[in-house]
Amino acid sequence: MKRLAFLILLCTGAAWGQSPSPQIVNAKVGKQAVLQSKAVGEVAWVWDRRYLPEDQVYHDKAAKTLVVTSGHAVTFLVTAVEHQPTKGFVQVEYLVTFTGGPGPGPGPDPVPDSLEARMKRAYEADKAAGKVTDAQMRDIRDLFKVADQIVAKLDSTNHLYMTLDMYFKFSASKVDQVRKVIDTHLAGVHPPTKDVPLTEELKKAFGVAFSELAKAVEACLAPQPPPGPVSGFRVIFVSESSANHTREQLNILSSTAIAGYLNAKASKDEKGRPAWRRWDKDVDVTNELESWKVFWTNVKPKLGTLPMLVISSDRGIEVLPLPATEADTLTFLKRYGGQ
Amino acid sequence: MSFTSQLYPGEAIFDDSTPEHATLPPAGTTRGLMLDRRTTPFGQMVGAPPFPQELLIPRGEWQARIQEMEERKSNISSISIAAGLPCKDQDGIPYCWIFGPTHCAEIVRVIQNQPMVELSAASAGALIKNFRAEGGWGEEGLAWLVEHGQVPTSTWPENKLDRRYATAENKQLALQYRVTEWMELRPRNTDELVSCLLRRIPVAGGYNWWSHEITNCDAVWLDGDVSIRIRNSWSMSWGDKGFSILRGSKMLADDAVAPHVATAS
Repeated sequence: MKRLAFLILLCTGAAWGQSPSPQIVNAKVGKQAVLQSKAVGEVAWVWDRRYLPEDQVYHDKAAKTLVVTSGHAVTFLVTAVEHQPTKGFVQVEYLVTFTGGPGPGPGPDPVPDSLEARMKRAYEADKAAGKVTDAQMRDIRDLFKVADQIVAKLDSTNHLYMTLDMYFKFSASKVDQVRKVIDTHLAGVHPPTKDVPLTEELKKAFGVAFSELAKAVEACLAPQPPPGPVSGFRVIFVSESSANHTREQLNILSSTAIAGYLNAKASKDEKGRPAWRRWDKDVDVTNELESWKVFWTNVKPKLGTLPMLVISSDRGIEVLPLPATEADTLTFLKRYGGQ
Repeated sequence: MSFTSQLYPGEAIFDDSTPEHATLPPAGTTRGLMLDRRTTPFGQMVGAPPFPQELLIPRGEWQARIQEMEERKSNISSISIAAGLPCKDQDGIPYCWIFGPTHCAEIVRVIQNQPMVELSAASAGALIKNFRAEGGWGEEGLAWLVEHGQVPTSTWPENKLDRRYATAENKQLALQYRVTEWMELRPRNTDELVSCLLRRIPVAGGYNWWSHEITNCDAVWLDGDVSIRIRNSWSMSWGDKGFSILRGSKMLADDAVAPHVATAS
C-alpha cells in the first residue's frame, strides 16, 4: 500500500521563541518523496543523517523529531531548524522511515507524556523484540494528529529532506540492506539532494509551518520543561569518591531523605528526571544530557575542597561546602526548593 | 540494649554450618567462578589501585555505623530497593564473574542518580570469552567494563551469548555505560570489605568455596558480629529479591573488586 509521506516538524527553542527568530541560511530542497513498504512485518526504524556532518546534528537540539507510523511502511519528511555553532540557525532535513506491523493493540490513549519521555521510550523500547509496542502505538496516534494538522497547512510541492540514521537492533549488514532499499526508492522519486538558496517564498511557507507546528505540538503534548543549559533548581553533590570522607559526610552523600526531597523538588531535566546528581569530581560527562554538560563545565573550575554542594537556582550557581549534617543539608536545600 | 540488624523476610543466612547442598544454584541456573585461571595477582591490575588503607573504618565503629545506615535506610540494599533496581538473573550461563561487577555498575549509577538502567552482563562477558559459556573472575570482568563498557539489556538481553548483538552500534553504545574508577580489595580481607560497604561502595566478590561471584551490598550486624548482605544473580526468586546473608568464613571473598564511579549518561 502506497502512502504519502508526511512532513512533521517538532521544534523546540527556535520555534518556541526562547531564542531569537531563526535565520535560515540555506536549505537542501527537493520534491516530496513517496515510498512504498517493502518489508511489512518487519520493523525498520531508520533515521540516518548521512547528508549532515556528524557534529551538526545534535548540537543544541534546536530541532527534535519523532516520527512513527501504523502498520505499513511510511516515510516522513521532516524539516527542522537547528543551531550550529559556526553557522547559526540553519534548516536541516530528516527522512524517517518506519516499516512493520504494530502490536495487538495499544489500549486507550493515556494522558499525553512529554516529548522527551516519548522519545526516550521510542528509542529504548523494542530493540530486542523488534516490534512496535503499545506505548509506541499511542504515540503514533498522537503524532498523527499533529501530522494531520501540519500537512494540511503545507505546500506539498516544495518539501525538504532528508537524513536517516539507524536505531534498534540492526546489524551492520542489515543497516546496509535497509539503506539500499531506501536509496532505491528515493532514486525513483527525486534527484539527489542539493544545496539551493532558500527563497522568500519558501521561508514564508515554512514560517507558517513552524508556527502551526508549534501550536499543534503544544496542543498535543504536555508542557515541556523550559529549555536551556541551566534552568530551575539543580543540585550536584561533588566528592572525591576514593577520599576518606567523614561519617557525617557519607551520611549526607547517601541520604535517602535528601534524595527523596530532591526527587520531589528539583527541576526536571530534558528527560524528565529530577535534576540532581552525586558525582565524583572526575566523572565523565561526555554522554550526559547537554544541560548537565554545560552546567558541569561552568561548575568544575569553581570547586574547592571536596565534598561540595552545587546549587543552581534563580539566584545563579552557587558552589558551597557541604553542610555539617544531613539535617542541616536538608534545611539548606529547602531555602532553594521550598518546603 | 545490643543492636541486631533486621533481615529482609526471605533472606537466608549462609555460614560455616550451612550444608553444601543448601548453597547450590537453583535448577536451570549456574555459577562460573574460575579463580584458578586468574592471570593477574593482587595489586598488579593496571588502573585498579589496591584499597587505600586510609579508607579503613575502625572495627569499633562498625556496629554504630551499620545501625545508623539501617535507621536512615542509606545502605546499598535500601538505595537499590528504593530505586527499583532488580537483581540479575544469569540463567543458565556460567557468567557469575561478570554478573557481579555488572550489578555493581548498576548500583553505582543509581547512587550517582543517573537514570536506572539494567545492564547486560552478557554484552561484556560474551565478548571477553568470545561467546563461549565458560567461567572467569570478577577482576577480569570489571577490567572490561572499565575499558569497553556494556549496553542496556534492552539492546542485548542479559544472558544471550549471541553474535547478532555484537554490532558496531552496540560497541559504541557500551562506551556510555563504563566504570571509570575502581579499586581492588585484598583477598579474604574483612576490614576492607566492610569499610567499602560502609562507604556505600558495592563490591563484586568471588568465593572459592562457592565457585561463585556475587555482589556484596551491606554490612549487617548479627549476634554481636559483622556479616555481609549479598545480592545474587539467580533471579528475584532467590533469597529476598536476590538478597541473603554470608557470615563467618563464608563471607571472605577470595577476589574482590569495587567500582565507585561510572560514566554519567
